[in-house]
Order: sequence, then C-alpha cells, then structure tokens
Amino acid sequence: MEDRSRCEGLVIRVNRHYVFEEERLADVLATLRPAPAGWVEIARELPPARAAIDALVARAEQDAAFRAQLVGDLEGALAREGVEPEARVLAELRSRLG
Amino acid sequence: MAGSDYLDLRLGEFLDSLSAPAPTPGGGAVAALTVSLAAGLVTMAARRSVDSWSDAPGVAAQARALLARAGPLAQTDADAWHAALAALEEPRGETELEERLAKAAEVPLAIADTAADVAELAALAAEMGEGTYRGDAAAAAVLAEAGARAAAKLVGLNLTVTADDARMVRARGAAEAARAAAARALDSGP
Amino acid sequence: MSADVSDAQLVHRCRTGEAAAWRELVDRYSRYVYAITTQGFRLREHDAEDVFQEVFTRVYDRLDSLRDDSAVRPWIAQLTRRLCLDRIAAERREQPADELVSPEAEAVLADLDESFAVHEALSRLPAQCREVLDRFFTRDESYRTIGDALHLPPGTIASRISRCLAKLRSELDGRSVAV
Repeated sequence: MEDRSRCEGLVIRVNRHYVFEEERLADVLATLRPAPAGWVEIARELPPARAAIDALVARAEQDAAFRAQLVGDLEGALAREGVEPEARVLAELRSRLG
Repeated sequence: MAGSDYLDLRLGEFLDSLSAPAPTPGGGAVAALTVSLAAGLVTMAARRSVDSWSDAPGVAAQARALLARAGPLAQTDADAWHAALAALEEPRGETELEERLAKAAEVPLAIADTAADVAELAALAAEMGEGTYRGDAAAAAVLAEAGARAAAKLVGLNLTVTADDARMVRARGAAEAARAAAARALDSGP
Repeated sequence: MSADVSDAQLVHRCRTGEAAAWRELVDRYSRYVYAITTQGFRLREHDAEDVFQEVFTRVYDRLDSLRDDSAVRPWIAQLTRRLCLDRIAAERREQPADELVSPEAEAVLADLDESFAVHEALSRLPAQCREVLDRFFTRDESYRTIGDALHLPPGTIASRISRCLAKLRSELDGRSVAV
C-alpha cells in the first residue's frame, strides 16, 4: 500500500511493504521532521517576549508621553528591549495597548 | 505530460514522454530515476542478505530512504527547469531570473548527493551482501555513479554556477565519491 | 529531546518560570505540533505557522490549568487538533467543527503518536546514534554532510546508521545490544 504525504513541499512516498523492523522504524522516525527553525525560535523566545510586552504596557499605562512614543514606534521599542519585533509580538503589543 | 507526476506514469508512458521533443523530462529527471532504481537494487540485495550480514536490515532501511529521496526529484527537477526556462524566455527582473536559475541548480545537486550515498551503500552490499546478489549491488553502484556524474554535469551547466562555486565543488565531490564507491563495488569478488 | 527529564518534571520547571525549561518544552514538542498541522490536517504553510505559534502561546498561557503534568503530550495534541479544525472551518466560513476528523487524518495522528514514542526512545540512545539517525532520516542529510558535522569519515556513516538502528530497535524491544 502506498501512502503519499506532502511534507515541506516534497511529496514523500512511503511504500509500507516492510521486510525488516528497522525499515519500519526508519519510516516512523522520518515522519517527525524538524519544524522550520524560525518558527521554533519564535516559540522558544515567548517568555522574554511576553515579559518585554508586559513591561512596555505597564510603563505605557503609567506614562502618557511614553505611551505616545511607544505607539509611534513599536518595532523600535521592542528591539530596545531585546525582543525580535516579529508580527505576532507586534500584534499582541498593539492589542494590549488598545 | 503536464499535470502528472512522473512517478504516477506507467514506465512506457514515461519513456514516451522522455523521447518527445520537449525540454522535460530531461537529463535531471532521468538521473534522479536512475539513482532511485539503483537504490531499489540495493534494497533488494540487502533484504536478501539478512542471514549472512548483520547490518543488512539497516542498509535496507537506508536504501529505502534514499529511493524515496531520489524518486520525487525527477519531477522537482523538471518543474524547476520549466520555471527557469520561463524566466529566460520572458522578460523578468534580474533577481527573479537568478533565483529561478539557482533553484534549478539545487535539484541536480541534491540528485548528486543522493547518488553518492546510494553508491556507497551499493559498494557495502557488493562487499558484504549475499553472494547471489552482489552483482546486482555492483550494478547499482555503477548506475548511481552515472546518476551522480550526470547530475554534476547539469549543475555545471547552470548559468549561475561558476567553476569554483561551492555548489560545483560539492557536485564534483559527490561524483568523485560515487566513482570511488563504484570502483570498490566492481572490485569486490563474488 | 533530553531523556533525563520527564514531561511532568519539565512542566513543573516551566511553571516556576525557568526559561531553559520552556525552551526544552518547545524543542520536545515542536516537531510533533508541526507534523500534526502539516501531515495530519494538511494545512498550508502560512496557516500551519499561525497554528504552530498559537499552540505554544496557549500552552504557555494555560500551563497552570493542566491537571496532570505527565499528560502534557495528549493535552498539546488535543489543543493542536482543535486549532487546526478551527482554522479549516474558518477557511470554509463554517461554524467551528465538532471533533470530526477524517479516518485518514485519524490514522496519521495515530502514526504521529507512535513517531513521538520512537523519538523518545531515540533520545535514550548515545548522542552519536541520536545524531546520525536524526540527520539521515529526518533531515535528509547526506553521508558527507553528516560526516563533516560529526567529524566522522563519510565512509563509516552507513554502517553506524545500521548499528544505531539496531540499537534503537533493541531499546524499543527492551533489550540491549552493543554498538
């Protein structure tokens, strides 16, 4: 029986006629391929990104001038906090600032 | 044949398509399929060698993986080549042309790399496999070498690749590794 | 994937705010989530990326709600399935689907659970075995690339892979074999 799975743009055909268990294990291993490195890095950096957003929002709530400056340059503010101004992070910050 | 994956065609249909006066399928597709066929031979030889070769199951697993890696590259090569030809024939920006040509070089490079690995496995099978099937393994090594050399040539013909380009160095390295493996396979006694 | 730390221990450490634990959790489950989105539900790359990030955002935000820390894997799987189904329904402008997944997708999801278990067994092998098996079978690296990365002769990689596969098999069978 043939099973086509589309993965990372390539069609990987898996013929499930195994003679050895090692062959089947190899196919099983191959189904868990690395996620794109950029995706993984964004997810890994979620805690510091969240902490930076929390700090910026807290400060913006206390300081109207800072809030105005922040709204005018979200990317710069995040970068100064050491956080990659990635689209989702920017979206969350915009949402939190209202 | 537009709209069909080569791997879905009957062998006769593919041969007809190959012979037709059209740019694809061409040398890259045939190189990929040759490497895939060679990997199939190695899989068979390893599967028949379990009684005499403890590594046979692992070699069969690797050969299957390389077969699955090489086969789809036939269509991928044709698609990349079509895209590159389209960019050459129609007025497009320099960047897009370069990108498409670079992509067209990546596929034969992948074919060459895979071919080198198949040749290596074939050489192992020719040395260690069950006697009856060592000839098949040696044939696989020679076929894989041919695939590697053909693919390396195609890398070199790409307009974006120069003689000392890293991709050309890699392609030549793969062809040389395949050559050495095929020589070992042919030297292996019955 | 670090074999030394159980899921329950990892979740506990994440709750204490340990950044390294969070990164380990992401590393441990990123392939699994990616596979569910792309192979189980066949999402396009853009949608798969959105779901991938949303899964880990929700895991981060809702870790405290997990009742059984050792059950983090099925919890993540269920969360991922839910978000995939929601994304597909939104695409079709339908109401969010009930938990109706095609038999084909269910089979793929079951396979992915086994794949995760095999990768867990892989994490218990010696580092060099983990590397050669992962690089060859999941990253499609050539023998030359693997040899360069691990400072091993390319001509030895195929044999190493064979022996490490045998070791993986034995690990799963519960026996031990010398490599």
